[in-house]
Parts: sequence; structure tokens; C-alpha cells
Amino acid sequence: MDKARRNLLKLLVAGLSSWPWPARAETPLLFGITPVILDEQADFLGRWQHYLEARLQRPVRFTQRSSYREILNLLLTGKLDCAWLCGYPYVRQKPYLDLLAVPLYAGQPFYRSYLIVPVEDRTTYSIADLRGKVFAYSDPDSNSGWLTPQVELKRAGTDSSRHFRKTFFTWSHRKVVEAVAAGLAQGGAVDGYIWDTLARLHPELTQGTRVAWRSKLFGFPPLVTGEHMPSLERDVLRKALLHMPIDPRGKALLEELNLDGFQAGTPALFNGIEANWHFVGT
Amino acid sequence: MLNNLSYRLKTPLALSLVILATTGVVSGILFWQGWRAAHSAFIDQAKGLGKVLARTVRPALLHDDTWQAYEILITPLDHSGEAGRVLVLADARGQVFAASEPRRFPVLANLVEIAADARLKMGMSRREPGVLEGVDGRYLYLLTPVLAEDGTLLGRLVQRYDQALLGPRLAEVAYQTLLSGLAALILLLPLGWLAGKRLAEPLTHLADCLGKVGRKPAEDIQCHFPVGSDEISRLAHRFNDMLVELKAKKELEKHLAQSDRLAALGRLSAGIAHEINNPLGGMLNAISNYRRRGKPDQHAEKTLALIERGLGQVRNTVSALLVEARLETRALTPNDLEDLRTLIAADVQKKRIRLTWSNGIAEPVPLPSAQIRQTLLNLLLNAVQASPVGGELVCRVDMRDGNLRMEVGNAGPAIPTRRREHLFEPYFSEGEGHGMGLWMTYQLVKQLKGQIEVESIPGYTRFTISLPLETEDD
Repeated sequence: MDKARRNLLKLLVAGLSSWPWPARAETPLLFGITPVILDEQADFLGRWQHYLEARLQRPVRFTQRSSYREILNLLLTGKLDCAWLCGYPYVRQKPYLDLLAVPLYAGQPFYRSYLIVPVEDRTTYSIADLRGKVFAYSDPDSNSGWLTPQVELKRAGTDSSRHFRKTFFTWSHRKVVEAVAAGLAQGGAVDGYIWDTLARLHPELTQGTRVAWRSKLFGFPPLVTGEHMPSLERDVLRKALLHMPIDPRGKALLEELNLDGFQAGTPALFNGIEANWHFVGT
Repeated sequence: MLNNLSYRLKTPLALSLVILATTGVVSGILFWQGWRAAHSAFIDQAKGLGKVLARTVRPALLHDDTWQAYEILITPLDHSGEAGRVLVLADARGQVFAASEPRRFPVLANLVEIAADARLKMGMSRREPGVLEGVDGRYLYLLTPVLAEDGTLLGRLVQRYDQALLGPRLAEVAYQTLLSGLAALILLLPLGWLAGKRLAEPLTHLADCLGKVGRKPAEDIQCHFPVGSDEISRLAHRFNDMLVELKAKKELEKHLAQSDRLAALGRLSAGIAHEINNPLGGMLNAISNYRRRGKPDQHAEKTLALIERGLGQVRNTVSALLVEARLETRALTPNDLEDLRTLIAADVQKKRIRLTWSNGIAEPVPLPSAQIRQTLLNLLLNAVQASPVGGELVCRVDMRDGNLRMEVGNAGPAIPTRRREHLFEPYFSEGEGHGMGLWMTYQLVKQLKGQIEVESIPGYTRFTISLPLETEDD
């Protein structure tokens, strides 16, 4: 059964089961959130949930887990309708996921990976300089926080598992910044958008770190839906997201996220990540 | 110097000093105990924290999750790098796995080498939890082993505390102790001072009273002491006894002096009377003989009569001075007394005196009646004379304890003090009478080995004579 047919069938089933609309409206939208944004802000999520519920005329329930992997698994098993993921898991699970929207950061659907070091380190300008040091990754399913440093090390001809004396995961970009600022790690890979946003909102956190190296542009962590989600609902949700910058309340929420808006996006945006994935070969 | 200080000050001062010293010592002990308690509470708290943390970081250590371990380690601290408190998780080889201050204790560094402390090195070689002080005494290390389920040593949680952290606690304990000490002093010092003053008061009072003895007449010294049986009360009691004895002694001396004087006067007057009586008798005999034998002319007769009258007066005077017990041995009868009542009746009536007469004698008393009559008459006449018009006069005669007791009282004015000192001495005053009455009375009473007493206050004067019936033969 190819994807199109499967989707059509699903649409039919969804159409039947969701008729009449008010009954369908009671079913909550299950929305997975990962640390690709500053996710430890219950207040913001509450307001965004409120906003989306008003737009969609149905309940929205945000779900957070300790790693990308858990959210991804929930999404793939249909226990979530949609999720804000990183481009890396998206490209790996592309057959089972549909692109919902790509955020616009500084007007573009792109971001970078940053290599950060403690602020007192003035000599490091590439990941190769950190040989024999302790290094902090954010998440093994993160493009900026894991894949990009792997690519850089491989490109430099180094075995990533022996290059550092020790590595650990903090399971969040923000915590990579904290670990490097505290000196727990002498280097870390972090989402550039997160670092920049933190520098704006919590400069005391980023002050302890210095960006030693910036990667090329990658597709911004996208919002994706699982294959279980009816395309009609997906369209409604996408419309609501794309409408946010026009709506004053939506715009205010976007400002809190330090984003400009969303675009529908194309899978091609993530070709760079996909190429890296294949380059590293995991 | 100290001996010159009054007990009024010395006792409260001593008590205050004792209170100060006691408060000081107690405060010291309290401070030490408080400090020990604060210190052990601190250790216990750290031990409890160590236990909890060691248990919590175990999964992180097992799963090689440095970040999780770090997050756990900084949780009890207000922020990473809190002054004086460092939590380090070392793995089984003693390498830093995570630390609350990663810059000072970098991941994978050797903990013992960084701390550079021989005692910590010794502690790290043991498996048991331990509390140890660093070599230089600045740091306190608490070691808690992190054990796997099967008891394998996974690592050690090391808590390092700068002992300076205990400074504020020390200050707090010191402040509390000082405060309670001051409160105790504020309460106790006035109490102690008061108690000291009260203790010393009877002593100083006694000293003041003693100081008066000799400088003031004993009867003017009035000292009151609380009744009791403690040392000072006993001393005060003895002192009062002494005062009473002093007064009695003085009284006795006065009395003795009076008696001596009267006795001397008696001897003197008797001697003079005898010396006068001998030539006087001769002179009177000569005049009498001359009259019988010769025929004196008118002029001589006149002269002789003049001399005779003069000599008669001399004899009367001398016989008044010379009170002699006449050898008349008739016993005193109740009628003798009634005669006396008759004798004074006229004068009593004249002054409208209310006479209370009590004759308690029913049968003859073996005492010379003449002397008794003379004595009592003297007293009665004096009383009538001293009595105001319409006043009361009391005469009471009875037998008491083998003595004849005669009491004569009148309502006249008090006898002046100066007169009283020489009451029983013969005197010749400008007033009526020759003043021989009491002299004579006194001599008679003394001859009969009796006692005469006088009480005199304004409006009441009483003479009491007491005569023993059986005089010892001396």
C-alpha cells in the first residue's frame, strides 16, 4: 500500500469518525515538544496552548519527554499527532513523517550549530582544538548538538569516540550552555538559535561561554505530523501556525520564541542534514 | 584596704562578684555546649545530605551521566560555586566524575591530587563513610561511599566545607549566650545587691549601736534587731542584755552611792550629836543646879532662861539628827495604827482629802511599836502635806511574805529629780518643817533592816516600807 492510498483511506476513516464536527472537536490535539526550543517554560506553553485551542476550536495537549527519541517514538506510534522535532530525526524518519511547518528565524527557515567553549578559553576555534577535553552534546538525535560535531570530526579525520577524553549528553541545548559555562565541559555543541535566544533572554547564562565556531546553515528544526494525522486536520493546524504572525497575540507568542513565523517548507530544506547523516553513516 | 570597707558595701560587692563569676562560667559552658551542638548539627545535616545524594547520584554514576550527576550535586547549593561548599563525586578510581565547582575540580582530574590533602588521601583509601578535617584545619571533608546494589564501590561523594562557614553559627551562639548572660545579670545583680545589703544591715546596725556605747548614756541607746536565732540575732540579743546590765549597774552604783552617803551622814550626825549632847547635858545640869542652889537675880534669871531655851533648842535639833532606837519592845498592835489615823484625821478633814485606809493587821506584830508609829506618822504627815485639796490618800498596811508592808500614796505632784537624789538626807529648807522626817524614817527603817522605796510620777507618789519580822542576828 503506497503512501498516497494509505493517506486517502485514512482521510476517509477520519472523515467518517470525525462527523459531525463538534464530536471531533472534543478530541485533543497531542503536540510533542522537544528542547529544540526553550521548552522549560510552562507559562509560555500554557499561553500557546490557549492560543491554539482558540484557533483550532479543540483542546491541545503539549507533551514533553526527556529526549528527542521518546517524542519521536510516541509520534511514530501514533500517540502524538504532531511534534516539534529536529531536522536530523526528521530526515531519518522521513517516510513516516509529514512536514507541518518550518519556523522562520531571522526571516529564514535556517539555523546553525555552534561550537561553544568556556569564556576563558581564548585559543579554541574548531572542534579539533578540543582534543583530550571533556565535551558536552545535547542529544544523540540532535543535528546541531550531535550530528554536526560528528561530521566536523570525521571531516578532520578524527575518530569522534577517541578524540575527546570524555563526552556526555545533557539532553537539552540550554543545559549544554550551562555545562560549558560552569566548566563541567570544556566544549559543547549547541543549537545556534537557542544560544542566540538565551543570549537575549538570559545573558547571564551565555556570558560564561564563547562561540568558537559556527556551522553552515541547516534547515530549522521543523514541526512534523505523524502519518496517523488526517491531512485535513494537518492543514487546519498548519493554517493556524502560518497565521500566527498576522494575529497580534500569535505575534507576541512568536516574539517570545524569538521567531518570525512559520512557512510550509519543503523536505529539500533538510538536504544538508540528510547529506551529513549519510556522511557520518549512522 | 579591704578591711576599711563597710560590710554595707562589701557584702553586696562580694555577692555581685560571685554572680558575675557564676554567670561568666555558666555562659562559658553554655557557649561551649551550644557550639558543640551547632557543630554536630552541622555535621549531621551534612551526613544526611551525603546519604541522600550518594543514593541519588548512583544511577548517574552507573550510566556515566556526568550532566545528571552535576545537576544533582548543584541542587542542594543555592548556585554553582557557593562559597565554602563543594560537592564532588569521584568514581571508584578517585577521579572526579562531576563536581559542583567544575573549574576547581575538573572532570576526570584526580581528586586527591587537586585537594592536595594527606588526610583526604587517607580517607579516600577507606570504604567507610568518614568525617575528617583537612591537614591545615581549614576544610572539613565528609566522605560518603556510593555503593552498587551488590555492595561494589562505585565511587565516593565528597563534601568539602570551609570551616569559616561555621563562623556565623559561632557568632550566633556567642550572641545568644551573651544575651542570656546579660539577661541573667540584669535580673540577678540587683537581687544580689539587695540581698547583700539586707544581710549586712543588722551587722552594720549593731556596729553603729556598739559605737554609741560609752559616748551616750546607756538608757539613750535604742537598738532594735529582728528576732531570730542566727549569729547576728544572738549577738544583738547579747548586746541588748549588755545594755540592760549596764543600765542596772549604773542604777546600782547610784543607789549605793546614795546609801553610802546616807550611812556616812548617819554616822557623822550621830557622832556630832554625841559630842554635843555630852557638854549640853552638863550645861543644862549646871543651869538647873544654879537655879536650885543660888538665888539668881532677875537679870541673871532672864539670861539663864535665855540660855536654857537656846540649849533646849540645840538638844531638840540634835535629838532630831540622832535617831536612836529606844529600847521599847512593846509589839505593834492594830490599835497603834488606828491611833495614827486619829492623829491625822484633823488635817485630812481640813484639806478634804479622801482617805483610803486599809489596816490588814489583826493581831500584834513582833516589831517595836514606837518606831513603826513614828515612821508611818512621818510618811502620813508628808503625804497629807503633799496632797492637793480634795486629793486621794491611800494607806495600806498588811503582812506579805513574812514582812510588814506599809504603803502610803498621795495624789500630789511628782518629787523633783534633784530633790529625789537627796530625798532621805536631812535638809533645812525655806519651806515648812525642818526636813528631818524622811531622814528619821530612813534611819529607823535601816535600823530595823527594812527597805524603803519611792515611786513618783506626776499625780501619784507612793512610799513603800517593807520590814522583816525576824531580823537575823548580826
